[in-house]
Amino acid sequence: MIHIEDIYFSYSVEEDSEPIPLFEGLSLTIEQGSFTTILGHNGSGKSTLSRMLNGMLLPEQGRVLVQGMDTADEQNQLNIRKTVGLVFQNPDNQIVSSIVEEDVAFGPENLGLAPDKIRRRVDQALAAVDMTEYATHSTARLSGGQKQRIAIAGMLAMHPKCLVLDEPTAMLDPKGRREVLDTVRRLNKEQGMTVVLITHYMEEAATADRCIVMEQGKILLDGTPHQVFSHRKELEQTGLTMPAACQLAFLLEDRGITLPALPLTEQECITALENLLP
Amino acid sequence: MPILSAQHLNFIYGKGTPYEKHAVHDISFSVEPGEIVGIIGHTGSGKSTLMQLLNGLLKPMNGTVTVDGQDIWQNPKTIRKYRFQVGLVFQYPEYQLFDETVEKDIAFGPKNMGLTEEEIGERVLRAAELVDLPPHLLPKSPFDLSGGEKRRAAIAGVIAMEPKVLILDEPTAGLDPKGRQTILEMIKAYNQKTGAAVLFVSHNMEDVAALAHRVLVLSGGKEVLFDTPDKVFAQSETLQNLSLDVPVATRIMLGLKQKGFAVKDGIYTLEAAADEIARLKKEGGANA
Ligand SMILES: Nc1ncnc2c1ncn2[C@@H]1O[C@H](COP(=O)(O)OP(=O)(O)OP(=O)(O)O)[C@@H](O)[C@H]1O
Ligand SMILES: Nc1ncnc2c1ncn2[C@@H]1O[C@H](COP(=O)(O)OP(=O)(O)OP(=O)(O)O)[C@@H](O)[C@H]1O
Ligand SMILES: [Mg+2]
Ligand SMILES: [Mg+2]
Repeated sequence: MIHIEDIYFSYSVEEDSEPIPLFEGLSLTIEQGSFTTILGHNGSGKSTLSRMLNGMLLPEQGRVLVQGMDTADEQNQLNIRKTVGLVFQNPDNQIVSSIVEEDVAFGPENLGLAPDKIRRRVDQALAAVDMTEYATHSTARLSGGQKQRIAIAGMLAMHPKCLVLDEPTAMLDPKGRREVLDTVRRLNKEQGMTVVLITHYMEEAATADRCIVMEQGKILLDGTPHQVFSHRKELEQTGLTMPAACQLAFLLEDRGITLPALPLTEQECITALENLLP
Repeated sequence: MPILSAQHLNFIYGKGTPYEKHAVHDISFSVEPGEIVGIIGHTGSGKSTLMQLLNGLLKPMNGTVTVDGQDIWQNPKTIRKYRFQVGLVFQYPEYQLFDETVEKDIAFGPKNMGLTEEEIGERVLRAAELVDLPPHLLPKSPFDLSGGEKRRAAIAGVIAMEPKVLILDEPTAGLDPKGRQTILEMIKAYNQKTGAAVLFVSHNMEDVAALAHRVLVLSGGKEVLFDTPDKVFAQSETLQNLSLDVPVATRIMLGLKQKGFAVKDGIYTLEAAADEIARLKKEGGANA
């Protein structure tokens, strides 16, 4: 789906100062239909990477190919934006219209869809994030989590082949967090949508196909959640942790109780304990 | 005497318009000096609105807010004074950060309090260190920071004023796990060292379990519960019906209970869960 080939990138802080390199030869392939989560400490380059995936930022060297289209080629820009939908970390950077439903319709309108089709997509997207009753409200008068839900709905309505979400659940209540994850998981399973999810919630990473850990612009770990979360030391050294179920397993180990396999989810943990306890 | 008290607070957005929203509905509660209060509630339940009422950024339609026994709106001309005493860190750091550099941004509050240059400099460094903001980021524009770095800068700016009531609206959202730990420890240390009361809004039940002495639960602008964490987290069904949840440790213990194990109630940290499981292993507990 997306090939990142040996990219270099740096932010220049001031005109005259030395730019600070972030990516120095980063390569990564995102498979079609996969569900990938990206973890990493604050400032490790996750948001920057997400902007590379839809051509909002271009590498200084190397290239990014989206279904074979080079993001550096301006002619591909529109197609790439249609293919890869990016939900920003801060919803204020995403919301463009003053009315909720108009904002969600903005993307589909730009795809040139028929009005009734747009209507359907907007309604579906708003329902998916539980914001139907706010359809005609002003986007400026929403709570933090409501804005985040609208930003997600806007991208869902585009039906992109690949959906990139930058910490989409950071401001949501526990139920909203579960619902958003269920929605993207369903789109991934049922419609084969490729999903890239950036998160600081280790639990969200536990159920992905693949888990990538970034550190200072480099890939530190890359594998299935089980593989990645077995690297306890590396994770802790880089400022991350493990899902709560794993943490509990390690606390039990300190107390002389060893579970047969490392549980990643609560359910796995409960099942393991059920078998172990007298 | 409570350091902060809300009496019958009401706030309505867009009164008289079709989008009128009664965001805070007759809320009364008090916070004692040195207390840490966690505030939880579904998306749009009125948490941020309530926090802005408490430091005088919004004026209630009716009801009063008192700080140290003083009605903050008694003389509207002195309302600014309370913004230094009751420091509020916004939900989105972007709403708070505005200056050319991170350093100036953190210095803004102390400067306005009329401190000397030397004191200001010290406070900036101390605040940056407390939130674990690396010194090389200080000369940067706050808008060129990553999401988590912005949050640290925003918190530092409020801490630097050394308010006697510190309010944080989702202080750990967007922080990496280590940053989250740092901020939670910082809140605890600030509370213990200065005796300041702390109120913090969070969607993270683990944060609340780790830090709060009491928990205020809001739903639809109304107060549903105000009690100690063990009492609040004992009501897992109520919380789930309010779109909230209990900490993971509590959920795992509930799961075991459903399988017939005689687990103790009132467990909401992983440490306590591990101790309880170890006890069950030793003593057996399937006789529930
Ligand atoms: N516009 C910018 N100008 C200069 N430096 C920047 C800019 N945006 C980001 N940076 C720097 O680049 C690094 C990577 O930032 P990025 O936003 O990609 O991190 P992140 O992994 O998304 O972090 P977080 O978890 O905090 O959101 C950080 O050190 C940050 O300070
Ligand atoms: N400026 C505004 N004008 C009109 N209504 C508003 C405004 N700000 C918030 N609201 C509404 O008031 C209600 C309470 O909002 P508030 O921001 O206090 O919620 P919250 O509990 O902080 O939510 P979240 O967890 O999403 O941050 C919401 O229904 C919201 O839509
Ligand atoms: Mg980011
Ligand atoms: Mg809020």
